Amino acid sequence: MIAGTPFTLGSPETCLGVGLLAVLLADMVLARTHQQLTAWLAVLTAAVAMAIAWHTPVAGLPFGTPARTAAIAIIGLVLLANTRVGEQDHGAWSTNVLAIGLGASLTASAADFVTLWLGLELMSLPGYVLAGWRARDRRAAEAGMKYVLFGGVASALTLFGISHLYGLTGQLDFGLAAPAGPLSPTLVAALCLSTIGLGYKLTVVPFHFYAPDVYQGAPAIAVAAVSIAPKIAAMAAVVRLLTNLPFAGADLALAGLAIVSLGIACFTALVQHDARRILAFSGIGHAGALLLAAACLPGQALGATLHYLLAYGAANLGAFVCLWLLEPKNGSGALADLAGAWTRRPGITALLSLFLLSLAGLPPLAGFLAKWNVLAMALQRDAGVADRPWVTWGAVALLLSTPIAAWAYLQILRAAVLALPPPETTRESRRPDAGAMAVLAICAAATLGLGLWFDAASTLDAMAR
Amino acid sequence: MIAAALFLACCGLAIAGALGAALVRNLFHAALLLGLSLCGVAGLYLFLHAYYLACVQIVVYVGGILVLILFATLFSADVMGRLQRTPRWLLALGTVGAAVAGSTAWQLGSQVLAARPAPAAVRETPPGHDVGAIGDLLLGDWLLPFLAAGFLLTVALVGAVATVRRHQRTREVAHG
Repeated sequence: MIAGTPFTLGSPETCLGVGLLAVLLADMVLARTHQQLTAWLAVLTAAVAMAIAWHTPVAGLPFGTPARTAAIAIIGLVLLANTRVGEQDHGAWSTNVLAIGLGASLTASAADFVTLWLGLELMSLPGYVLAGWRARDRRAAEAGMKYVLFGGVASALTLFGISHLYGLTGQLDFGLAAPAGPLSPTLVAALCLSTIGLGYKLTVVPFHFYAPDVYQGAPAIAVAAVSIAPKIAAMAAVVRLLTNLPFAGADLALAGLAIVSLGIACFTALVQHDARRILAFSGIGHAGALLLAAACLPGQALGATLHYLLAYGAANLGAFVCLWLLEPKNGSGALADLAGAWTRRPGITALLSLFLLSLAGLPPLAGFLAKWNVLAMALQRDAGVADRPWVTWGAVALLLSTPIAAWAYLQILRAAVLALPPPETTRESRRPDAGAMAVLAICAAATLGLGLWFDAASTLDAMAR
Repeated sequence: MIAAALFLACCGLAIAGALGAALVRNLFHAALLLGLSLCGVAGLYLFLHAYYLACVQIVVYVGGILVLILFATLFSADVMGRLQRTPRWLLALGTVGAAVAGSTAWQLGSQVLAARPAPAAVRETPPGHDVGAIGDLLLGDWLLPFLAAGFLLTVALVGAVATVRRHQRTREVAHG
């Protein structure tokens, strides 16, 4: 009989759902002067959900437990960074960000295709709203529209694939949908279609077209919510699919996608003039590296994937919070707008440099060790490991793309540190509050700590196995 | 024989309606064609012995959601204007594309149908008893997706209201 993902009252999803409704109610009931409570209620919800997620193993997928916890933690940190009520509609903001957390949690723990699709949609719908958050801004409108259109098509194709899978096997569970023996071409086509939604959330080439516009049009703090947590959750779903539905050629497909993503991302990032667009292409490249890690499954790749996700999440969240604090209010991430950041906010600019260098993969930061682990996995030549030429080519692509992408990150640093501000700039940027500073401190500690934790891959692998 | 003809008619209705809704430029006509497609799908549910689902499809989708879409369309400007007419080249391109897609689907479908028996769920549900089965499934094995769908709709509503409210506020500020 078909059986969906099990539901328990003591799950992080329940906590996030109840918290989401409580935030909505509080936003409606509380007077304008007490709106601050709504923001803190949302942070509290995420914190409790994170604690529950840490202590509640995901059924059938040990990798899902740390991934789900990390995704909810990222959501909590995004909420903590923006607790100052003053900008319009803080209740709607908190609800949308919490909904992304709920979707990420569902996606990471999904054991069947229906729950997976609902989780992906729960991450997408608030994303559309956040992408178009700035009213009467042409770029925000374009970003929102592109996100909705691409997301709608990706979602429809995913559902189309799922319907084929159900028609072919009569099952919706990941494990039960795997037939004995080799997969038929029709089933492989259905599987590929049904994973388009995951590729879209991971921003893998060729599903990446929306990312630069959305990252550019949405507020930087919203991008932090839209970009990182969905990636972590989608990666957990990819790992579950790969372990439950192993099919020959998966490593070829994953490594091929990885090579294309890494190549396109690093070269396109070079010609951008906007910090957020550069970070969008960086996200595409990192998604490629993550797929390369997934192509090495099994082996110690689970630990390497988890370490990469954590390193990327910490550095990316930190970088976006820094950009949010350095950019002029209602401004863009244009490199020209960042000029003079070093003289205005030296501390935050220094932290931005730390996060960008970690993303570039400079030792001793987390990004370096993460890339090192993935390369070691991909180039491993053990007796038990079959020959995987495509994965080796993927490793070569990762090696070659790293210095090219590093040049793009240096463009942001050059604009923030070296460029002189134009004399007439009086545009005001956000004042960092305690919450944002705490988030930056946590991200910096994670970036340094994950970089110096040399046996991270094997320790995390033992946890995720 | 009659059943086969009815089945093919329902299939044709569902596909032609969906194609029309996607290709026609006039929003009002697209909405009406969508209703046609929904009716065709309801017919297909009947062939699967899912009588309850067929009724729900008609009552909720055709009777409720489609009427809402039509209302929204009528409130938008320029429902029957020049921009709403479909150009001929688009119609021609759509027809060719539909023919190619249709023949591919026919090939794939005939292969698949020849290769395997009907899905397990269809065989297990006795005809006429699907209401209880759906209820059991929704509140049993599929409780989590059922609740998640509720949250999805809530979040969609909140997002829609938040977007419209913010745009209205800035417009009021801009116009004093």
